[in-house]
Amino acid sequence: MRAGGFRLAVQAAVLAIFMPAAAQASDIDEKLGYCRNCHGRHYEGFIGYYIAPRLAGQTQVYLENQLKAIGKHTRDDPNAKRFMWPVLTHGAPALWPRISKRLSEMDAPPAADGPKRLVETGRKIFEGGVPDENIPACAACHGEDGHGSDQVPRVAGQLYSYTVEALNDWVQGHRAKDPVTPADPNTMQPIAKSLNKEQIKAVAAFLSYQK
Amino acid sequence: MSVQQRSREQAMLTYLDESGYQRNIPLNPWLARGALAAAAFAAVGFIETPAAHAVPSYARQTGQPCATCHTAFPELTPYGRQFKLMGYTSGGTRCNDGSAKSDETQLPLALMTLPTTKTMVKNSDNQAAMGAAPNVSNNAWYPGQQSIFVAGQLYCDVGAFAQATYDPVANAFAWDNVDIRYAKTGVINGTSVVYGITANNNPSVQDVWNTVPAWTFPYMDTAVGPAPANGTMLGTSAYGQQVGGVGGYVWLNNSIYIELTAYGSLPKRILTDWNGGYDPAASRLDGSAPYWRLAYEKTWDKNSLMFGTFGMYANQRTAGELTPAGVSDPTLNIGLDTQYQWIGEVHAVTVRAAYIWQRKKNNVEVALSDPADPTTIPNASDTLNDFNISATYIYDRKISFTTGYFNTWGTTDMALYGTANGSPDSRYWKFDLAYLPFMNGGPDIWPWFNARIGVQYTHYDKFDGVWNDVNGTGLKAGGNDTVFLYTWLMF
Amino acid sequence: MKFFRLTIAVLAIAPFFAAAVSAESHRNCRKHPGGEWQMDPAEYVVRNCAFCHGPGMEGKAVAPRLAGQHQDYVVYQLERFRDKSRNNPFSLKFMSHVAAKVLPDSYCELGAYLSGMPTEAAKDGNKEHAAEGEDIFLHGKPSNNLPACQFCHGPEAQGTGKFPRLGGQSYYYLKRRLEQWAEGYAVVSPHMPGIVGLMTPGEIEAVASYLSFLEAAPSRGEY
Repeated sequence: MRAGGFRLAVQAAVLAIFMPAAAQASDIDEKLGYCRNCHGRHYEGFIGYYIAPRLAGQTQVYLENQLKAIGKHTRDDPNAKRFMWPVLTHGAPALWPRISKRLSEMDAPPAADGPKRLVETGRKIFEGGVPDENIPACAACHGEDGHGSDQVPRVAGQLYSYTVEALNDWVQGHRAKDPVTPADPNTMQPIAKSLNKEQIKAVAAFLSYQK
Repeated sequence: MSVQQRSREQAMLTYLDESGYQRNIPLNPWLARGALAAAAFAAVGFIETPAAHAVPSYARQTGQPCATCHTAFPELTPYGRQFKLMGYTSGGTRCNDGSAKSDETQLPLALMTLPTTKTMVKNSDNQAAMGAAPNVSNNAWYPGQQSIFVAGQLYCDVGAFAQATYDPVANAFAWDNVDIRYAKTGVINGTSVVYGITANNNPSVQDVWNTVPAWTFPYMDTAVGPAPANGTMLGTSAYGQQVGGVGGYVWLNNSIYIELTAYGSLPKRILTDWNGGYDPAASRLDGSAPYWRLAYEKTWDKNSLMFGTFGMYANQRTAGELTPAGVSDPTLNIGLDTQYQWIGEVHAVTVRAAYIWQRKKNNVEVALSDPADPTTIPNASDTLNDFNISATYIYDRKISFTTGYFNTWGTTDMALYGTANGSPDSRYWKFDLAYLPFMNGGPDIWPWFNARIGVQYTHYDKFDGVWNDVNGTGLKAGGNDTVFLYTWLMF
Repeated sequence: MKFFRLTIAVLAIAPFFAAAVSAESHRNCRKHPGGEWQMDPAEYVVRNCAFCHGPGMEGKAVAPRLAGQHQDYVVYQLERFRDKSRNNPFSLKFMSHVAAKVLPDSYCELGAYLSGMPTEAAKDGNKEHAAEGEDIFLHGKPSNNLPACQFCHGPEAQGTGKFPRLGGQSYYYLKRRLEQWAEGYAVVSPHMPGIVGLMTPGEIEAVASYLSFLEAAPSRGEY
């Protein structure tokens, strides 16, 4: 009897913990389903006429920051403007933390779509920077494994052409108001501008293969 | 009697009708009319210009099932029209211009047979008409025509639809509808263009809509049994297989069709060899006769709608070699036609209508008449009209039901028309119900096999000018009502 | 021990090779760029395709415009006709027979030729609904979780690679194709049925109308 009562209590506790979560889960499921159309079945990124980046395994803080920036229109690269601004007009900001959390817990195989011959060059830049040109090693902020942390985004496994496009966005002056950290909105711009086209491609190629 | 002899009979009959010159003797008018009527009755039974139709060699050539080009053969879809306009060469491999897709050679041959048919005329007193076919009697099964086709790409951009028919009732083998074309297809200044040359032996056989006389409903009819004696020159395909024509056409932007063809009577030698005989009294064309055709078709999604006109001008030597020198009947035919099609995944509907107006000056018949006997002198000229409208519904390309209304009317001319009251008028309804099991593909052992098994009922309101007392028999026109059963197979 | 490890390795990797080989059922035109097929694509297309698709491959009745269509898309569809996975009634009635006769080694060159053919917009949609169609095409309908069509099909519906050019295609054809997905015909395109499921008939009609008026826009890449 005592055992039965204990079991019942455990069951009740479990239900109490999971039921509300289950109820909440269904509303972000719908939004996550919407994201799939462009970001891929498993949020691994997708290339149509335009490119939608991999979101699986992205850091939660970075995702939340980007959603806020898109919502406030401070993230202004052409594709964000064209697609993400309209998408978030019907977004519910209250859901963003949970959506970001869910995405950060996902995993997907790396895109592995960069030109293989550039991978070695890219690795050298990622791990050691380009000292001659005062370009720091990407790994210093993004981590040895490229998984990022907090507001520094994961770059490992990202679509090759997205990484190239993103770096070029900074080169062209977009995302200048990107609130990476409130104190230093332009961390990536000077770095991207220091890299030449070949270096950008090499880094992007290398990253596309990283798990 | 052969196919050509049928036509010849009709031509002879036409001659007989129009001239009243039957035995070169002014007969007692009633006797003359009766004899004419009986002869007409007998002869016109054989007028059938056997149209021919979904050709399996085209299916072999294109790789498409019959249903791509036909709703229920021989009715054409927009794709079937395009195939014909492009010269029957689509899908062909007999060309070294880089267009051949395989090393397979298909022979452009096909066979058609009507192994059994049956004709039943309502009033068996009309059996007299069928007596003209000694081996066929009312309500008995008898074999229909058998045909061989050379149909398809001959070489590169030259293609053919050429039919030769054996008629078991007449026990004769002769050429039938023939259309040989050369056509080129391309885009000029952004406009799609198909242009070509046609050589054919039957005015309107080269056309692609099922409104013109060579191809309109009914597609198959009894070769024995009653049929109205009179109709326009084009409407009755009076010169089918008697003439040769060469013409040019363009098909612009998938919508505008322009054609001009010139016909002339074929020489005696050709008619003797290919037409199974030459009848010196058969009507012939004096010089060349122009034939024209204009059409506008709009196609959108499953619909197509065509409005068109066609016509022919001929100087007819209606008594053949017996026509006095320098005399001929100037005859003008002007036609208007329209066709609407809706072709869905399962259902299909086609509505067709055509009207032909004819004006003919009877110079020959007047010249041959007896000035002393006014009853043999026809009008200086006559007008004749043919109108028909029909609608077909087809279910799954397999079951086809057609209703048609036909009306011929014109000026009364006792001496010209071999009818009881000199009126050429006839009016009737035709209903056809057919089963076509293989439109979407034949049986595995012979996938291009097609069949049309049908029953056709004709009801006459007016027959050769009268509602009653048709052919002097004291019977109503409806006594000529006919049921025709047919099995039509294509290999 | 060495062989054992090798065997395990081979057995482990083999399925991926098998998958790769069968995945080659989608012809990779970059690996087979041409020169295999000895025909003249211009003559071939006129001889074999034009009687249904029109002399300039501009489309006719229910057969769509193919002029200007992307090579990858054409190749992919020919394969889907051939294996009958594209199973709506008109495809089965007309195209499965055609695809059976067209030689696979011609697909890439045919696709390349078609992609270069000049094209004109069909303009057979409803002009009054085109504006609504434009809005949906460019922005989707975020309130209904409907993604923007232009993400895959391009800002002027010019398409790219496997995503077909839609600009200028016949309104009737586009509408019927969208309806076929809604009716449950085969999921040859993994994305489209879910997307169409979010559209009302009026929205389908509006988008199809809008697209029929779009003149050809240049596409990225050669084909």
